[in-house]
Amino acid sequence: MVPWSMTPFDRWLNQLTVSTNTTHALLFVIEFLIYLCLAGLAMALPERIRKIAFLCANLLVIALVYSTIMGLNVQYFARYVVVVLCFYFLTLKLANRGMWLAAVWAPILFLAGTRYFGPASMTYEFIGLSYMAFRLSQLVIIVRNRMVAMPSFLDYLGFSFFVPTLFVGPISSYTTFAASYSSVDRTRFPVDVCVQRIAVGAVKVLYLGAVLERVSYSGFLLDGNAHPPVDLVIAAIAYYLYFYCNFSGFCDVMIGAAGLLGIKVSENFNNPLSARNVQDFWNRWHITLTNYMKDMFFTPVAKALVTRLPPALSKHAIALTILMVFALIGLWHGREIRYVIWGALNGAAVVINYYYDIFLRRYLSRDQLNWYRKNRIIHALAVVITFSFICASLFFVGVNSEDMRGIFEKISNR
Amino acid sequence: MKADLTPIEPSISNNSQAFAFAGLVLLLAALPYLIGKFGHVTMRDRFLSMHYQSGAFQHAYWEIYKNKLDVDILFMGGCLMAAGINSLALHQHLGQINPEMKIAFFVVTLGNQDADYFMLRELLKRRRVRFVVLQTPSVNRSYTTPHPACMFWNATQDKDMLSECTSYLKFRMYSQSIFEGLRDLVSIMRHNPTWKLCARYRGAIPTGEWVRMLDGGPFVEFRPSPVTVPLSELLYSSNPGAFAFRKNSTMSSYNKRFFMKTIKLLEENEIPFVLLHVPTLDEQGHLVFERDFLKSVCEERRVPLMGISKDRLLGGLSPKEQRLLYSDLSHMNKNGSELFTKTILHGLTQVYRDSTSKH
Repeated sequence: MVPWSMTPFDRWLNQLTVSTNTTHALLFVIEFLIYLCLAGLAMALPERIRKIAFLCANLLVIALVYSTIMGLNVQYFARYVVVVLCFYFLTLKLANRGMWLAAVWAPILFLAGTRYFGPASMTYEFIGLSYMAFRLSQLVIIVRNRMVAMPSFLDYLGFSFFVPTLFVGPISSYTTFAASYSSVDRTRFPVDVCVQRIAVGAVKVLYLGAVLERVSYSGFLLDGNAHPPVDLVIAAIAYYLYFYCNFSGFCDVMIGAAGLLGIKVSENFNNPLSARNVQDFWNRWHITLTNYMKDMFFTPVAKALVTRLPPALSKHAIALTILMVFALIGLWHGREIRYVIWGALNGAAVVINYYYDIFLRRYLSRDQLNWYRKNRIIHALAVVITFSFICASLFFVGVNSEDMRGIFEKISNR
Repeated sequence: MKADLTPIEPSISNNSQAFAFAGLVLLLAALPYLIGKFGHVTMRDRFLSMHYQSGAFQHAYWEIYKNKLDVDILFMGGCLMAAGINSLALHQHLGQINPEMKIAFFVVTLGNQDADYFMLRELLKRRRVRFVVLQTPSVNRSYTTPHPACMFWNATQDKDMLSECTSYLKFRMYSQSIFEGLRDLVSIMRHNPTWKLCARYRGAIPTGEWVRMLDGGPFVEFRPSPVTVPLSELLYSSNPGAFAFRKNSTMSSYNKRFFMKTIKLLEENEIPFVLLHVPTLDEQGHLVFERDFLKSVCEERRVPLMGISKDRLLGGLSPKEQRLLYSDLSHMNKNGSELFTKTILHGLTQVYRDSTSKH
């Protein structure tokens, strides 16, 4: 749908393009190129002024995104900057007093407050806050563990508002950012590889993702027409592939862009479509989120439970922790109950896989276990089952509760 | 949490990956061509795969391909007509005159004339239409590109469409149809559900779904009495002083051509019709403002133009009360459509009777 009120710029773009999605895609490309030019220039400056110029380039482009693609007033962005500044000074103060835990939780509590207790619009007013909150809380742990020194004011803001990781992650750690930001090593980022990453990523987002979207939930199953049950299967598969193309494509573009600037951003995907089980899937899908949850929640909580419970219960303690972690992952994705269901389903699948693995280790000899793991037919079957499970579980991500009812009514009323 | 100092990894690391990726991209790009060449996805199939936000195409499908009865009055237009004509009031009034009267609606969003033309062309191949009410082209009919429906209707192979398109537009249409390639493939692999779906849409106000999307705030019932307006006041031919034609009004030549093709199609089939102006809240003054090119169309081709100005329709109502009749500045809500429909009904019925009695 073309919006009823359009700015002259929108109208001009509409002459060139067909839909607002295309308009946004074009705007995104323009702003992305502006960012590459400005940030690239900043990174080429002498060290004295590089950081401030780099920060300005990032802030300027984010302000542009706020006012154009997001259609928000720039004052929302100014508020965002103030919030991050507060985090910085709070971290400094709490760290000086040794209150590390409070410093870790501050961004997460702010995220929870805006997402679950604030108005729904706040999610859009703080673009990428969920990624930002995780990165900033991780930064506190890194500083506490003396892996890096407390970043300066400019470094903290530069890391927080680093465009390639702001919008949809990856949750790249400060250690990775600082290592390449302070001493740029271009040999690790060949231009041709970076450009290839951007090009492939763009094709995945703008082309493959857009084609797949037309046969997924919003473009197909929710088109207002009646559908036979097989369409639910088609839409579920298409949605998974669309989600993968869109998310991983965007990460590719951002990793390539950061590479052009000489800054490393952690990989977020490793061919998740070929995952053998759900645990394997989560080691390949949104890798930085999995690693974050592993470091920040799973390891400390599992350790605490295992040391407090009798040894016979340690397996179950780990299983319980897995469920808790996935429930949190679900909650992190959104305030609706469907996200928790999705997280719980994935958690349950990982727990089943965990017990199944224990079962196999107990009842199979080493040779049998090796044969089982290397058998191609079993592997293919496992990949198909995992793929199907992920497709089915993503139904809770791709369709809101109102539309879910509509889909089942349409299919059952045929 | 250790620093990741590994070099950036390429997306494609070997030739087979590169060929597979390029092959996939090319296959999807060629899909519309291949489906056009070897598949059999017709315009009829595509009606049932149109997204409801593009218009009431499922309803149109039923009217064109399933309903065999003659149509007494056919309403064709965009969102203004969809929001402005109250089908309940219309049925009640016309039902009193003739209980057997059959009314049909074809309303689409976005506002391109091409979709109207194609729907009418398809309908006239199958059903007899006695009278047509055409909405005058709305402001946003300045689009220079085909309506999405036409892009999906196998339009790249339709002679009527190809004759109206520049090479650039043909390219645009093909590139748009790439995004529909997989959807068409689904249509080939399994038949689109047909009559059961249409039965559900039968009798429903075809535009209900998307008119709700307009941002109109909470609905407050307000039913002012309609004014009695004689036909002579509504028609341009008898009351030209009530009409004003804006110069340099934007309407793309593409849309103009399809508008004229629609009129020509009606004339060729000897179907009487009237152009209907639906007033919007942002119109100023007591005149019916229309596009300048319509003046020549109406005068040279003797096409009847009918309309009522906003001031005349809403005369005596305060701005606050007027706002209760519209969902936004252009589109009427249920209150407004009831008032407008009842106001023009007598005139419209008279034009219908006069026109159909001549034929």
